[in-house]
Amino acid sequence: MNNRNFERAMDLFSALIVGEEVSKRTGKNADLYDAYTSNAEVNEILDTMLKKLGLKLYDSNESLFVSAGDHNRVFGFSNEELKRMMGLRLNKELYLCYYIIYNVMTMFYHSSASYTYLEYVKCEDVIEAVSASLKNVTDKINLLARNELEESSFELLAITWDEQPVIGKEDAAVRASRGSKAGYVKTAFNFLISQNLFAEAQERYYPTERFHALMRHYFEEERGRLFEMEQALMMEGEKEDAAY
Amino acid sequence: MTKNNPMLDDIYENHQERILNLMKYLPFFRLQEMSFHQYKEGKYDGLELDMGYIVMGVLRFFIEENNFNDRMVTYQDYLEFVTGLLRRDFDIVLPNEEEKELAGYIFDKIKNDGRPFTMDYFDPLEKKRKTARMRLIDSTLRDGVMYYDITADAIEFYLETKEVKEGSRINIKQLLLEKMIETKNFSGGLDVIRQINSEVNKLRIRKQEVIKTLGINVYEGVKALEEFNRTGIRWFEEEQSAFSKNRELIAKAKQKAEESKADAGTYGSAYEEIFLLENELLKAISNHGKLLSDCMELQVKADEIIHKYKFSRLKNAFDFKGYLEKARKINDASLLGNLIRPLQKMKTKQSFYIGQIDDVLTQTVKEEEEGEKIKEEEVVMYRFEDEEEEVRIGENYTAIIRTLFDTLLTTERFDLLEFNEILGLKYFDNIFRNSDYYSFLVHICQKKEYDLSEVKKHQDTFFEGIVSEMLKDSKNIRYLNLRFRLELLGDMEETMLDFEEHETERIPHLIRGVERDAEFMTSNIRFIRY
Repeated sequence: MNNRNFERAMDLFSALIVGEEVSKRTGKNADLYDAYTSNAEVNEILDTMLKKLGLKLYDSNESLFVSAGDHNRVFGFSNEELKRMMGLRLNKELYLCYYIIYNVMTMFYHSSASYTYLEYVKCEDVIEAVSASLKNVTDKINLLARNELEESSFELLAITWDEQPVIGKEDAAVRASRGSKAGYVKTAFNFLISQNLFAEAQERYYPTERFHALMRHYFEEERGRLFEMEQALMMEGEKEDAAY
Repeated sequence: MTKNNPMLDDIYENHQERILNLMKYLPFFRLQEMSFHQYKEGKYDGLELDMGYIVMGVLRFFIEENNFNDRMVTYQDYLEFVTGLLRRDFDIVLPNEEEKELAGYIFDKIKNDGRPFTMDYFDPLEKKRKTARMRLIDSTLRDGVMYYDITADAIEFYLETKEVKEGSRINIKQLLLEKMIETKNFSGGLDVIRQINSEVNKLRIRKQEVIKTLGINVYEGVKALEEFNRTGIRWFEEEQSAFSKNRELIAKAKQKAEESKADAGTYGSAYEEIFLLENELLKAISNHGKLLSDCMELQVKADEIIHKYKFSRLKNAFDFKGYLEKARKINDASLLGNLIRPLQKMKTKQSFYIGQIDDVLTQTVKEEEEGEKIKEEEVVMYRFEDEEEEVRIGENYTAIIRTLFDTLLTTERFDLLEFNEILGLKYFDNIFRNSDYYSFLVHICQKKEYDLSEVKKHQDTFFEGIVSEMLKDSKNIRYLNLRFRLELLGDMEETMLDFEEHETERIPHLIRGVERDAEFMTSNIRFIRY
């Protein structure tokens, strides 16, 4: 192994792992991108390292992106850590943020292959989308015994959402908070921005290249595994159904 | 001032109407609040009787009898219904008399001791306090028998409370209309038809919503469609027959009105109202027809959307909505994390749990190093399976051998059949299911003669080994001088002559097993002490 190539690979690895941009298109770390695409040994060393660490690399639009995937014990975040990052306290609040992010994701991608060509979203679009998609659940809430709800159930998620005012009373401008629908959406967007997935300009949220790359490639590649997981879950679900 | 202001109009002029409408709910709440506290000094306090539930039940019973079965209710009918309800729903078992008394008490309460339920209110038009009245149950005396009958207000109240989704409101209103026409309340009927019209319109709006939902999310849309079909369309036929029934009723009323027009009787004055009623009803029927065609259209559109969606699902891509749908089906929102977490950046700041800082701070460091203490380890003895088996075999053999020797001490000669009987008496049939018994027979037959005093000194076979072990025990000293020989009856011709009558050559054995019985033969053995 060429020592220089090893060094290049390590440079590239450390740039990716700390979240630096590696892109020929924007010019940042362009030499590293070139090394990856034109030097087979650098390419190989990096791939091996990433593979051994359970990381996934995507080359999209002349840029490199890396993802820890799901359940990566070293580089992935646990639910607790996520809550701390977002400033949330309870699991149900975290799930609500998941749900909001899910809605943002599907506003841009119905499936990993069908981009909706939406340019940006605004906070109020997201509020509307979340409310609309939870409508069927919220309609039934009145008939539910609240203390019987599971922490991770969609009913509890819908109640948590439904009970929030659209905008907190004292807020002139929307801030991230746990006190209003807009506050939650803002929390979710702050998180997405911190993860380099969205960029904000005048209250409009634009998806970044990283977002597109991961949405297209990660889910495309992991489709089989996620599908298997779905199947396993469905089996469980059916078993539960059968018990009724 | 109020003429041109619709808001004030509403406050001012419509107040009375609103109060009268509210009045319908009053008896229920009065009764609901009533407890059985005063009745028989609170005797039924612990039974958790719920008056609200009972009232609802009784009203439904009256509607069933009066409106569906078209017959008046006697007190006896009521009694049967209510006692059944008390027994079934509150698990109340009371002596007959006491049960009747309780039912009577409830009936008096529902009838408010014969008085109407009243509520005072202020009429802004006349600037006076007025009293609104309402009864739930009316009574009529016919041929010396008292009959009971639910009032139109009570029906209206009952039907209003019913969950919109649960049934056809249109049908319910029709029932009400029927009652109104029968009681010649034509202007009230007009209101009811208007309500029917608005219900029909509501369903048509709902249809639009379903289409919209289908466009956004097919899964949600299909659910909404099912719900719509379940609550809206299912009642169509019943609604239509109710419409035609009411139409007939109106036609009859109209006819009567025409006949009595000259006499200026009850119908005469209402002729105009009947005419309006008929017109409204015709309008409602035509609206209702439109709703049907709307629904057909909805079904076609929905099929189209679902069809398209199915095709798009075949595309080779990860379907986010499908994933959500599955997470929803098992109702676990945490699964969404599987979609979100991969999008995150790497966690490069690795940290340890903050709570551990406490442990670090409170950790005391010892002043000098201590040597590691080495404990003496106990030697663990292992017993292998075959050793366990040997112990078992030894125990079983000892038991059989002891029986054999005891028998030999008392009886000079006997055969295996007799010995089996003795074993059977001692250990029951179980012993013949024990494989050790059969292996015992094999082992004992390895030698034909045994002198126990010799066996103690020198052992040739496994069997002798066990016997010598046994003889070491001082309890078994009495066997020490025993000498005996075995004769296998099957293979010794000369001994055939010695056969006693009951001795047989072969002994059948039957082992009843779990899966099947096993049957086999062994030779008979004669044991002879000498």
